[in-house]
Amino acid sequence: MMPRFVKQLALFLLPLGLVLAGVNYIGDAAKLFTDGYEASIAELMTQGHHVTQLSDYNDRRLQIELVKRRSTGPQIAVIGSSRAMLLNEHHFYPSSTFNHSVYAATWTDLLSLFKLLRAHNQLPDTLIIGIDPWTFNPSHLHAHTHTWLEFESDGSYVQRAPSFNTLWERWSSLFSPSYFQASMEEIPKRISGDDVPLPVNERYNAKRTRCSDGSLTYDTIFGDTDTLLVLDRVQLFLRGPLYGMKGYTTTDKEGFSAMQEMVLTAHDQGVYPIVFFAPVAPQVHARLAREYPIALNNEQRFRDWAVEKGIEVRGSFNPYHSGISIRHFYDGIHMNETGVSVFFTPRD
Amino acid sequence: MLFHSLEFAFFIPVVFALYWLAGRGGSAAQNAVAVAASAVFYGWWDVRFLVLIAASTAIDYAVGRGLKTASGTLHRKLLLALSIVVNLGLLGFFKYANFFIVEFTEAFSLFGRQLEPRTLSIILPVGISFYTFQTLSYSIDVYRRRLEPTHDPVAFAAFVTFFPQLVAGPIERATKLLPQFAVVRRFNRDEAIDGLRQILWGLFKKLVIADNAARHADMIFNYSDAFSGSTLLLGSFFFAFQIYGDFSGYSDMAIGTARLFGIQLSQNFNFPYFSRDVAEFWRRWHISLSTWFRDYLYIPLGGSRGSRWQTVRNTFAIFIVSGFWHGANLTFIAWGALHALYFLPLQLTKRNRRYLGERAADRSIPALRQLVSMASTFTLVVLAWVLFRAKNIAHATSIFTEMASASLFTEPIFPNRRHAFYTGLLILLFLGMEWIGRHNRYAIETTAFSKHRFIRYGLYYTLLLIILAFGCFSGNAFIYFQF
Repeated sequence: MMPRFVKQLALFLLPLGLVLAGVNYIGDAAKLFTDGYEASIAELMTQGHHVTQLSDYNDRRLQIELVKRRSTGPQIAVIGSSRAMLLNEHHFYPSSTFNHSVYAATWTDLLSLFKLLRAHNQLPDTLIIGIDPWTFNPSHLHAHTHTWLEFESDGSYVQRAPSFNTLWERWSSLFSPSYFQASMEEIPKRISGDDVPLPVNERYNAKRTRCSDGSLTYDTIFGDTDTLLVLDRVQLFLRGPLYGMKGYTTTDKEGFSAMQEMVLTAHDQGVYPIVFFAPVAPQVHARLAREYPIALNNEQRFRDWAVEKGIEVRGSFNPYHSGISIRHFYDGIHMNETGVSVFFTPRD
Repeated sequence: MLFHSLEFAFFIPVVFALYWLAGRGGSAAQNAVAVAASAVFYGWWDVRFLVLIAASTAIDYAVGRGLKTASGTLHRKLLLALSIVVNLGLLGFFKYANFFIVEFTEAFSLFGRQLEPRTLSIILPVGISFYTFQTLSYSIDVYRRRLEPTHDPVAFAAFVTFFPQLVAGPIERATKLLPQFAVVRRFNRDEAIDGLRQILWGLFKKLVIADNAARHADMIFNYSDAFSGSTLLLGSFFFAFQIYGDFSGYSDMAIGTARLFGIQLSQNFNFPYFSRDVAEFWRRWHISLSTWFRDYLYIPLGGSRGSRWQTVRNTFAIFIVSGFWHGANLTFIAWGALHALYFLPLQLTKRNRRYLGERAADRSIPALRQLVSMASTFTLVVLAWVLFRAKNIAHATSIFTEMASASLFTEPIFPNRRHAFYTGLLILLFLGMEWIGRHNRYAIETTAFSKHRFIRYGLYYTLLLIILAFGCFSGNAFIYFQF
């Protein structure tokens, strides 16, 4: 009876698995099974174009492709997560600026970005380092270290960080329901050819745009800062576990000291580091304070250490410290342009 | 560990294999696997919770054994009192302590004394309201000599902790569940397949209906000041489907999972939104809790057998206690009281048992009169959900006030109306399927549909594809876990 049941169940699930894998492979929302996508974006950006009509892509690979194509570095560079991605050349005009932030950055990403710039003799005069609430969470998965290992021979440090198996990430994504939803949306674009990166002259477009200075502009729908819409997004973000915070009960000592070491190394090499704690929306901050006070304590610890070493610090996870409110946000953890300009005033 | 989580997807096949392999070792081995699996399942939230449930299990087991040997009435009463004090004490401390501290200090302020409430830092153990009621029913039934106390501590532990129904019911009676743990369970393929089918339906309710409706209900209730009466009413409808999809979806998954292990749990929902009056609604909504209160509170108080005043008192008692069971907030008490007000006119005019039969039993669509009854009952229930969902009484009052204003007749405006439109279509599809399957224990039980394999499998794959395409996979917990 039992073997027949198991066999019948397996046979029943087989077509579903095939549909799931088929849609995820063909739609491939994050371009896990597509080669050369990031290189084509990097090529257009290096030519001075803003690039829109983007699917999800491997941001680490894009950074490597960008740095490889460049002979000299910018005067000002930003490394951080999507929370620091809105910083652009207008905030630092007339200095040349490049934003190297990557989506969902962990401390190994920050370190690898720093090492990437240093390895290519592209360290800037000023380096803005975006720290996130999850940066010092030892339980947070360093999901992208494989890319650094894949492309960077100088990956000695990240190899020691908890790594995510490339093969596992690829093949488990084939059977991921959430990847299915994103990939399903991509299939019509694939068929109509709308998934090819499109060079544009304008920074703001109907779709999300990666600008030639590495920064990001959101699509016009997302960029709609109607307060109710933002509150809706904040609420969506607050449903379920807080991103990156699961298991955050102790401090990632290795990450904490690695970030300190990186800041000091940059400083010693003539770079002016600025540590940036981009605020989170008030509702998210309240939940952080309630459930993960350790994240706020670690912010304070890092700030105290930086101040003691004479390192400039801007911002705070706590939005009230800077007097900003929900109208300065796009969603729970991303400030809009108005919010960013509170900390970095546009100069042109 | 949530039923719709990746952890559970790995957990359940392992437990399934171990459990049925253990069947060769008899019921004791199966029960041991069930208890161990339940400990992992429950401890996944917080291992400290295990201490509490172990204490509750041990005490009620000992009380049961004590009641078996105790001869004097006083001794038996003392043992029952011990079980009641321990279980309600645990519940009272973890769930209601802060509520009473705050209410007490606020009451003091009425006399001109301002006290600063010093609330306790307590985590509410998941499912405590469910398993304390389950163990209490055991002690009471043994005391009433309706049940022979078990002499098998592992079987008793399996009865208390059985993971599919541990954290959100159905609240099982020992008379039904405990005997199932006393015998070896034999694998029944048809039962297991039916269990999987019920899990599928539960997943659809939770991931597609409840979690999509939640997006709009949360938005509208959390920022109610910004919305018109029409939007607030719409938000209340979304909440009605959120809570129904969430809780009945959980129950379906729990019952279906239990059937994979050869255990039969009670039906907890019987298509309540098709009820023709509030009395019928309460025979179909959260049945295991309603019958618990009926048997252990309402009937002992005298039920409807006494004077009219006693009937009113008992009805209010059961509804208010039921409301308070849901949470330490005056809103739940008000929700219970409102349902008592809905129910009493039916009871006092002896019309509360009018609708015992099936709705539109021999026809596919209801008669107009039935449709009006269902729609009006549903609207009353939806309005009561406002109290259930509101943050406090003042919040509920402001929502009702806005709903009663002219803005009720304006176009509902709120973010993501396109998503809301699709959610509405999914709800209509869901209601249609529930209506077609209303004669069954759950909507897609085989008999409701064609016996043709092609159509049956077509339905399963369609549901699975809808879940994949429209389900929310962000790991939202079930609402009733907080109770």
